[in-house]
Amino acid sequence: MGDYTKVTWYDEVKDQDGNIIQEGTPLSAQNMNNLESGADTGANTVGLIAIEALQHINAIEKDLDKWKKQRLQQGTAYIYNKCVMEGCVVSKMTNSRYLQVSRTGTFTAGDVSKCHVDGRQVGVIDEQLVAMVPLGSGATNKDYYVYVDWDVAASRYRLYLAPDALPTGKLGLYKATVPWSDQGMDLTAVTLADIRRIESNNAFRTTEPFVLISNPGYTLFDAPEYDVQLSIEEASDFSRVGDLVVYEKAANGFKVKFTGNADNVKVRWTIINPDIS
Amino acid sequence: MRIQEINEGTKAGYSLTGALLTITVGTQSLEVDLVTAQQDTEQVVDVSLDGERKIRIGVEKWYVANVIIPPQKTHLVESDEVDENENPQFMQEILPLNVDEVSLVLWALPAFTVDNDNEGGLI
Repeated sequence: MGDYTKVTWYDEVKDQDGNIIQEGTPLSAQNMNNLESGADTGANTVGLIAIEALQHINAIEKDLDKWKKQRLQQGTAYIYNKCVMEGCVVSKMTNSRYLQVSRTGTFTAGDVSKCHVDGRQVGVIDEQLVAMVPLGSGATNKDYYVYVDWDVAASRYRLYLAPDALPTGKLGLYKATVPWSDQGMDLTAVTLADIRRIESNNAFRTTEPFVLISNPGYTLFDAPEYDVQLSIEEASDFSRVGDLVVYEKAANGFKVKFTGNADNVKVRWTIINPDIS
Repeated sequence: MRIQEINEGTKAGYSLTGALLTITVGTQSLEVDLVTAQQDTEQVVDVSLDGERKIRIGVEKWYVANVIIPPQKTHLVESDEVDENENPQFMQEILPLNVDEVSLVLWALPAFTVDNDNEGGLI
């Protein structure tokens, strides 16, 4: 870019006698070069402004991305609070591949086990033939989980059997391991492992329902110097959730618990003021 | 033991011998004796990396694993003693730990522990 000086151009003006009363601005190389220089400066300035604007836009986009992905990390999580209060002893029935459930370990018609499910105390009646354990197959042993759930058709809580994993949010009672080679007519070869969470004391509990939350891929470098806002979106009973507590914060996650005795509590969490780079 | 992976990525190694759980991050390892750790309330043993990238028990800079140990279960057994009415006395006996009830939650390890030149192996 050269130096540009603004030039005011004048026409040559003569009077009626042909005398020049106003000199015209000459169409000289100097003036034309000055014009070229001005045009060049103008074009380059627009280019520079465009580049600078693009750089600003880029920086803003990056910052927005950080806001969306890092500074506004948010998600939801469920905290379940299900337990057996009394009974729910699952055992094998003789000469069959069926399981039975009882309060004491011995089937007694009319007896009822007590559980805390979906925020209330519920009964599970002593029952035989509650679930049939499949035969072994394939080349590996297979696990099945016995759990309590609501039977819509019968309008009561009863036992179910699920393969491979305990369904999320259900009250697990036992794990049944079937050897791959088990082709027996009864459950002699099947192993039953008790996985009940038992809370028999009404005054205090031996387990605290909590959830582990992993922040989605971004590191919170200032851990534990960040905060988490929590709000309840769902619960078996909102008034029985109590306080939501965030604790034991690390750079890659934290824990959340509640102090009440509700169940199926859905918590929305938002990380506030994380230190990011 | 129930294993849960809380997020995606390379996790710490683990092995269970009886009730002794070993957790390994690269060349470092740490043991958790599940029987010793079990109490009458549920215990959550946190395994973390600290600011100097050392594996530790407790909550430090990075979660590596959480071991969730259920409370002890008890049953009543008849003792040799009798009360003043000659009725047999019962005492609570702690049942052995059922390792099936223990949960191990594994977290993705931070990038500085993962050796990308060695197909995601650990440093």
